[in-house]
Amino acid sequence: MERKIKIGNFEAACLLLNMISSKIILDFPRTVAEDAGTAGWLMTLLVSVAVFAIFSVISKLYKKFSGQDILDVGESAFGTVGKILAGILFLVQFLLIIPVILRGFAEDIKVISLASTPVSLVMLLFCAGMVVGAYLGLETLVRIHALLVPLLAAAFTVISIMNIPNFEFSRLAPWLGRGAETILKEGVKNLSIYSELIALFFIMPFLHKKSDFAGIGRYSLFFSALFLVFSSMCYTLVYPYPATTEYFLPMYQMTRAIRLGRFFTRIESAFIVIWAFSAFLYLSSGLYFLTWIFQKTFALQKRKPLILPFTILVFTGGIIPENLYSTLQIEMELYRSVSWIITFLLPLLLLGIATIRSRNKKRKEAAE
Amino acid sequence: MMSTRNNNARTVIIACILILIMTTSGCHDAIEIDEMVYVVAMGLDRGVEGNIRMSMLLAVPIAVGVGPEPGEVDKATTMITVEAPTIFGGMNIANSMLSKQLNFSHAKLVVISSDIAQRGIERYMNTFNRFREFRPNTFLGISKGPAEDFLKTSKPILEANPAKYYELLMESWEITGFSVDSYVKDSYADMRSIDSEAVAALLDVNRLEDSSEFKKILGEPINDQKTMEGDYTAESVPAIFDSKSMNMGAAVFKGDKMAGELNGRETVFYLMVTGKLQDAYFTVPDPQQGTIGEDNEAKFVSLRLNLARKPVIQVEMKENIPHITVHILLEGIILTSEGEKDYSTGEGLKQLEDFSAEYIRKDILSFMEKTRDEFNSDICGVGKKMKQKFLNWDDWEQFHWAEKYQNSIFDIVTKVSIRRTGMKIKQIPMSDAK
Repeated sequence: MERKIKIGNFEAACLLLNMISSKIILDFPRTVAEDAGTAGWLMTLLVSVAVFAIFSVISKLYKKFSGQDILDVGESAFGTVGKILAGILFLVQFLLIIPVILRGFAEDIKVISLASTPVSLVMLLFCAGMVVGAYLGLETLVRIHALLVPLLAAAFTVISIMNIPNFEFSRLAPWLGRGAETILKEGVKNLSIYSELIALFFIMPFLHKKSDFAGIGRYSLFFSALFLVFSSMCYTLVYPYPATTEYFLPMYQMTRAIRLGRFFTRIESAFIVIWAFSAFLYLSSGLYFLTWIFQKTFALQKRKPLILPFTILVFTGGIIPENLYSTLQIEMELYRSVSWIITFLLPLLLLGIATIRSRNKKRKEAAE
Repeated sequence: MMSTRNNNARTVIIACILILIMTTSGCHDAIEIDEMVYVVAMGLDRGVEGNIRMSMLLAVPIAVGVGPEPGEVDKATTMITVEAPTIFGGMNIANSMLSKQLNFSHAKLVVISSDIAQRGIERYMNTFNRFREFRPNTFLGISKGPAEDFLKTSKPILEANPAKYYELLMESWEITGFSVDSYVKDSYADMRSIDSEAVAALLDVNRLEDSSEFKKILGEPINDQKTMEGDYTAESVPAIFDSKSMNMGAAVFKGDKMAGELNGRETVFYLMVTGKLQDAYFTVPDPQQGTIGEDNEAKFVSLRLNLARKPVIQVEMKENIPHITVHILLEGIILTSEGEKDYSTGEGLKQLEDFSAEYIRKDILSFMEKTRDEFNSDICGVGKKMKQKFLNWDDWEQFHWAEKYQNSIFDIVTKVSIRRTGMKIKQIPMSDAK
């Protein structure tokens, strides 16, 4: 039995911020450019506003279930079967994305610096970090997040500022990119950008002040949106469309383009370390939630014995895609198409049904 | 119970840390710095049977110097030339000959011969963008003659470090305006865009041996006017120096193919229109009519010019023809006035400002017309302004700006403001004093 975990508001927000925004390091600015052209930033902004609205509804419904995680809500809505089914869906969601992200980060490192090292070895390196993080537990993870996320945010801001000499305003035109219709159509799929917000519904019971749930969500959504919109806008300002759709690692490419005088160049080497931090934090948190959801879903006594089997599952899942492109396809085509349903619609459904059932229950009790 | 758990945790953590240490220290990618040889500059020429001839100027660190002690400057580089179907094929050949592994991460300059550039350089640009060792800030130059000759004749006379020599050579445009800032990333971006075209620095070997040969270049006046400084391209600069490599003018591209070239003076106008001009010494004829000296030589006024603010480019479509207006505001300092008239104050100053503005306006107009008629290439990026009038990418693509540009009508508006007059506030002719 793990001792009682308490998470502060800032720590929780940092966890969510890193989980949502770490995709900036991977391929986010490129994928939105592929979806919406020069208006990738605009699509991200609209998606962020939509997610903010959806979250407001969720947080209102959640007020009645303060202190319960989403699996408890599932139980309130449909009983144990509901809890297990919801748990399995969340497990599938995490099992789909964590191996892809693991492979993605490993491929990044391979492309950037360890060109001859087998990708499996690089993945193993990340797995070692994941095991340590997941073993030490949520409290340790969120505290490390609280320490490192401000540093990561500062590093990102510095990259963007240093790229200002490369900005060209006209690259944002045509203003609607691939068109308003495409923005709206692709925007729905891109609600999945915020899939990791689901973690907030899992850490709910551990929050120090449970009433601050909505505030933490809004705070992390605001800053995530800020970084996501800003990153896609900066990328579009630095590289012209359609060249924006060509680069594997947009942020790394932007960092390589920095040249402030003859002295201040090649700063990407410093940022690789920071990016590795973000990857380790994301993957460790992901593995932690995988084991936690499994434990909670199937009402197991202990979580730690699950770490190794799930690490093997994640590693195996990550090594399955034949090549880099297949890995990216899983994320872009499969994960993005379904993930927003699990993150936003499923909780809405569970909360809605649970609210109705608890109301009915109260009415019955009052009638008796 | 508690202590067993702590021991287990400690074991797992130590095991993980050991794995991290062992794997991150790198067995697969481990390479010592002295096991690599760094390419400072690379040249690409057409080889036989569709191959490329690849010349690589390699740094010899021990000759560059150790610590504060300078080494033997003329031995700071060595060159290797190989021929292969691709750049990587060439690298393989070179690696099989050299005792060390080639590394491009410190390459400062890529020179491509105009022979290749005229056929298209997309495949090479893709290589530079895809291969991690090539940096986006590597300079791109187009040599009129063989790139191999350019690298062979480059001698970093005044600089011990060959890498810095190439950097300084390629950055000389900042103080002369006679060349352009041509980074691989910018050229690639412009080649990839449909709203602008690329330019690259024009390089070549100066083949003059003695100053008596200057006549060959300066003998023929251009447009019945005296040849001004910068009225040359890289191969024909009247200069004698130990290093024969020249950076003068710009290679103009249409798509990935070289469409023509600008001389040094035209490149100054390119920099003015694109807002990239930093500082340039610029000579205009003396505005005073009839100021011809006793030896029948023309008199000039030398100015130091820079942009007072970014140029404003406006484009309007009228009957499917782009009407392009360019407003350029320059500010300057009088460096010297060779004639007898004083242009430092009052009417004289106003006369010089108006004359310079008109003189530059005509030259810019003729430069813009050249981009339209001779190159049919929007190197000044007027399309970027046009693009801002569109909402959707597809509409912009179907507008076919490149086709529209060849019918453009230009209107150039220039203003020159002389802000300072150097160390003298007025100029009294010597004939007046006597």
